[in-house]
Amino acid sequence: MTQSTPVKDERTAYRVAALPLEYGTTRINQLFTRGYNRYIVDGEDQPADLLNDLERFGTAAFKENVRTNAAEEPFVDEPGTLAVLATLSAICVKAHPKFEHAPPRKVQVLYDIRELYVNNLASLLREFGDGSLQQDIAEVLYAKAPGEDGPHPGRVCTGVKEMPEFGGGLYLEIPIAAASRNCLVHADTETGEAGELLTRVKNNHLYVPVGDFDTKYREYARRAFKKLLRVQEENLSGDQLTWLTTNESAITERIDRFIETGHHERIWRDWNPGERTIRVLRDAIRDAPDEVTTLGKFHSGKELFEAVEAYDPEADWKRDVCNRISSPRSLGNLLASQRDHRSLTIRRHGNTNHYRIQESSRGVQPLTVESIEDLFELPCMANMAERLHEKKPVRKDLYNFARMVMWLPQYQDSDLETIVGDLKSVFSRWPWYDEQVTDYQIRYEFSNTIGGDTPLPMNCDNDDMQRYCIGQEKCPYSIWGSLPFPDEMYGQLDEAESTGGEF
Amino acid sequence: MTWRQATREEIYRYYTEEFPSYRDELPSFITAKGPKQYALAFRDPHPVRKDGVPDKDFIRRDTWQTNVSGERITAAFHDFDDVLEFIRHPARNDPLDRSDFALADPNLLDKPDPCPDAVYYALDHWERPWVLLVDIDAKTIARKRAAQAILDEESMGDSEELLDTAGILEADPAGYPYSFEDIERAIEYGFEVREIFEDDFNAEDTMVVYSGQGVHVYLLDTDPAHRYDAKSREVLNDLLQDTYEIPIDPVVTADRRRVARLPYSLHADVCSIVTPIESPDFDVRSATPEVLQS
Repeated sequence: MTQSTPVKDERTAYRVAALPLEYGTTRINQLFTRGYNRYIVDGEDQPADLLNDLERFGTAAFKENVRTNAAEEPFVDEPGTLAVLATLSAICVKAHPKFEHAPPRKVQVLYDIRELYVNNLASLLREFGDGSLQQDIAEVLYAKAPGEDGPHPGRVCTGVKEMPEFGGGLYLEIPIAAASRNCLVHADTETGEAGELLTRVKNNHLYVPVGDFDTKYREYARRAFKKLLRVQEENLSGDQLTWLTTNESAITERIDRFIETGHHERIWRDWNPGERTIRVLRDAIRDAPDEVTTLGKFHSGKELFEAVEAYDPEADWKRDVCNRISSPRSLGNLLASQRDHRSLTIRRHGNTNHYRIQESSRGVQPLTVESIEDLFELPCMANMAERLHEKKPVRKDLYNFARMVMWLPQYQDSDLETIVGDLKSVFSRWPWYDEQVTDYQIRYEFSNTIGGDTPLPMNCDNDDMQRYCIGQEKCPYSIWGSLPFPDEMYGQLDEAESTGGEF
Repeated sequence: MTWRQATREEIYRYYTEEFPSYRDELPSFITAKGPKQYALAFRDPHPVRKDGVPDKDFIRRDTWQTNVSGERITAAFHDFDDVLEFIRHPARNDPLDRSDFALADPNLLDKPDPCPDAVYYALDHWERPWVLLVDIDAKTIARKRAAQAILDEESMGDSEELLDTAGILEADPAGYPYSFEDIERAIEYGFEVREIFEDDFNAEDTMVVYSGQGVHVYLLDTDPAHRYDAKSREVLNDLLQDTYEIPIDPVVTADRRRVARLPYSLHADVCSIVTPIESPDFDVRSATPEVLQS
């Protein structure tokens, strides 16, 4: 092992950041020291900068696209800093009152932070070297326990190589004498059985596709990040911890926001499996082509399974739920285990069970908004639409409408003309419609920013919405919770303390 | 051509008259002291000196006595003649000598000079513990063939009924759970494995041995790149079975503590000499000992 320390030597820092389980606390603390050194300028600590960066890291970790992008392009450019920011963010999460009695394995946001750490590290490693660090990591991931002749005397991974003879792609080269079954990688099959062997043999070596390295490293990283976090926790004094949790607010507030808007799946790992299953089934049923399946109607397990099979959600947790449903029978078993769920009814129909899944009667129903029309699925907006047939709108109704549209993801990057055009086509259905007036009103609202920020949409508690509200306890939706507003909207919400009072 | 079991007298004659002529052809690593053990299997169990210990039909004898640290102190056999004497008269020349676990004095036995049905040496070799042997058994091939012919699946295991229905028990050698066709296929597989060893595993020192009911394929290279431990051998097993589709016995391949039939020893159940071979065209009939042909 090299005698260089992670404080001074970048390569060692990368090794410790990537393989903390192979190192003691001294080396890991030296990695943190390297990270903290970045926040010392001319001998002076810069706590505000550190706080700012860790809040930025922690809140970014909750965004799926940031986590994914970090695998291609690093979000933090230095291993010591990365280790510090990720572990401090995790400590802030653990300090949130909501998680006081929760085991960390149940907390989804900790998984998100770890994923950002691992993805970020992966892209740093790629940028850093010539593959030699990957080789070092492979050495650990593919090593077998010493056999009767002692440990394998040479390197376990002798290279990361392009192998055109195997159809191209990168492979880890492992001598057969160093190999174990761990190196035999099979393709996944739909039935869950081992598929075709992807590991190849040549010149007394195994060639393992690098994709397997990524999978194995993710497994390793789970334990690795836990160790980094433990060392960091032990490293912090009571005063430091108090300073951290007193001053940090962005991560805590983001978690509060998830709670407020009913995004339980974003904060809890495996949050209420029954609830997750039903939510995914609802989405799959809604998404089913030609309305073969409908919410509120009885369907066979086969019909529901076909809806699940056809459903291709983006969120990881939804995909996980879908992947667990492998056949109509497994779906039936899953639903049978949730027979007490308030939205599920199971009825015997001949020799088979039929299942009815209803709209949620509680909590927050997410809405897919592909066009402005979809906003009318919100009962309050439907009520508003109905009233607009009879009466001219009060100004606030139109503005409310325009502000919701401004925040919809598909209009975020649109030019004003498109938005105005689309809104006008919606308004034109009402008898009072006057093209010039509406055009003016919409443009006025769009120019009327608040301190340069787009005005927030109303939420359910807004007084002006109350005249259309069917009652929050009865409504399956919430404006802020159901509409696909981007995180920036909630970010702005954090800054504006008022909740709709600006009207 | 039919096969039969060799008589005790024939076995004795083979090791006395014919086996010594093959001594110079034994692989060079098979010496009096090279393997860690020699082992003998008998047709009937024989008593040992100690009371209350079950009779033995299989004995392993170390080639060296060792101290507590495992270092070699005294050789049990000084030269190969001693090994030969042990094979011919195991009770009289038992290296355990006066130990309680030595075969009981031949004078006390109903059948003095028990001759071995089979002679083995340990793959766990003093100088080269990485000797690799792949075992391909005609029985496995026959069973698979029968299953495919009858049911197209292996649900019936190795039952007599399955082999009988497929006509394998009747085919020559009659009464054995395989036919000559299966042995020939085993030999072909053996040379396929040798080719795999040479082409994909960079092996230079290989050997195919006709074992009497199949083949043993050896990889004997001694460089560190070929020192496959048990875990690497599991990989080899999987590759040979799944990727190359060779019906090997995976247990034998992975286990370095196994004993293997000594080349040029007699497989007494089929009257065949265990013979290193050079070609898949090998005619198994040529492995019948001369002493049995006369």
